[in-house]
Amino acid sequence: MNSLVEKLISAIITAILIIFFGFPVGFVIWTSFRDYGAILAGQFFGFHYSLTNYFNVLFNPGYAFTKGLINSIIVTIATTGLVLLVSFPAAYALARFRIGGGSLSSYIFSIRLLPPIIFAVPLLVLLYMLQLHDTLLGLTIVYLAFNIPLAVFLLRSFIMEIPIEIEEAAIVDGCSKFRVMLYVTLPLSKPGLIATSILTFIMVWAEYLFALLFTLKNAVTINVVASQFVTQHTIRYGEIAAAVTIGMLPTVVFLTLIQKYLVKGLTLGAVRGA
Amino acid sequence: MTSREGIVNWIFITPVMIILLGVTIFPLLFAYYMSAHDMTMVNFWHPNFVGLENYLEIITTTDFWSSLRFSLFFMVIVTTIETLLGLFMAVYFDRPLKGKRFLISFILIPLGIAPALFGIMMKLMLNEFVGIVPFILRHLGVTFHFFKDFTSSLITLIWVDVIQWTPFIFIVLYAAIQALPREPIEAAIVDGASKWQLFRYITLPMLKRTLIIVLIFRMMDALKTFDTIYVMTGGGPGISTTTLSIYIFKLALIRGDFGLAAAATILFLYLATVAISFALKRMRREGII
Repeated sequence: MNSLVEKLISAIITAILIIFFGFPVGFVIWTSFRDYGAILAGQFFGFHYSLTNYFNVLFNPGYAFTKGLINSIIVTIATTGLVLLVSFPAAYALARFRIGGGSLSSYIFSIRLLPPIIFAVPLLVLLYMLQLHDTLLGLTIVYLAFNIPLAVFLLRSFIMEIPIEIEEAAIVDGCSKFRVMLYVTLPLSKPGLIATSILTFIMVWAEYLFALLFTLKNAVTINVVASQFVTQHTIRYGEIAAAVTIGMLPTVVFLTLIQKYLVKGLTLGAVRGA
Repeated sequence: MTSREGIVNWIFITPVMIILLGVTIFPLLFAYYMSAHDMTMVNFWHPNFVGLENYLEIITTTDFWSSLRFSLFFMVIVTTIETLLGLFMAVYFDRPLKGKRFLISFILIPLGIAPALFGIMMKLMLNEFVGIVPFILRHLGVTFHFFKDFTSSLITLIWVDVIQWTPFIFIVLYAAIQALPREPIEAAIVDGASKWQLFRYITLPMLKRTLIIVLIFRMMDALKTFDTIYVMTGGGPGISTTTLSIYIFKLALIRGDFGLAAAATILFLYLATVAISFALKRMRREGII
């Protein structure tokens, strides 16, 4: 009897959690397939489903959505590649040589914690001055800097898990430090590199404040375009839903794929053993 | 280690240093320069020196203080709710449940959505015409306008933030609980401890370190909230849900007064630096960084 009550309570809690956390996503996906007429008529049930909203969002020449989508793909991939390129040696140096003592890592860490708006206003003017405002290059440079903390700390925590004896053996054999990093540590860090690149991808894809400030027309990202949809095409609800669904798809899929490394990534490797 | 070797070591970190110097340190110094000039959207090459005028204007306007107050208020409320709920869920999931892995993946989905898109999504769901929530409420005979005044907007924004960020606290704490040593817990069970005692005197103290980390991250992230609030209320009605991030954003982009925005930026920087230095000190003491 007691266990039956417990089972019931547990089922209720589970159901509440599913509804609470899953409902918004379920609703927006559902809305994205519904017909314009059915939505406006306030008909919630019945069979008026189609791919029209997706088709309109992607191919209507009046919308900048496809441009935002392509820009987001370019900026995100470019940033992720560059972040890995510069962060790996830095993470290696932090893990193995304890370079810069505590103050360097403290500074890198605080960039992750500081509100981005603090950098946004001076960067806005600097980008104007350098004529990098509203360019993919300018946006990529900014994203590169602000994603370094995550990459450096995450890679560092992965490198620290690799037994140092392997590297020491290579040094005894006469390898230079740089070659040890490149030919010994790098191949062994593959899981770390994959986790870091996926997390960086998610962070860049989801960024909104900088994209909103530093772009205008040419370099707009998917989040900027999607939020413009809301103000410019207020009642095209189905299309807004389709835009949001397309925008969230890559990051949701990636997040599910790297669940194993999620905790480490979200706390910059501060939570160990998880 | 010879000093030559020390220099070689620095080469590894040079690219990162150059980028951080150029994109984070230099802009902060530039913000000081901006804050002492009457820089606007149209004249940023030759602004006039105005001394502390911008700072004076910022600290004498009520908008700055009210957005600061709202930022802190919002941070405290959402962090409290999300921590309690996340902790409850982490403990709740620490038991055999059917389809647990799938359920956890499902709960984590909001974490994988860009906050701006999540805000749009929620706005759609709460929309009077197409939203399912007002529809259900109507059929239950309840009328609630989600963005009518400050109170209703605040409840809506808290609700949205809780859905999006509780999964973060939950997954970190859940992972930490799974990694806890089982012996003390089993020993306490043998000694006849109740479930509450087990949680209060065994699990919670062992979670302290992780709780500190997760609170630092969540509080700093809540303090800088921009995306969801900006797409949902735009800081309104009036300026009642304007956070410091939105306030500075509007000074720069809508009013176009870069000098004023920079002065507000510097003030926010000091506030955040105080908070972060406490956080870093704590983290260093716990051996985290």
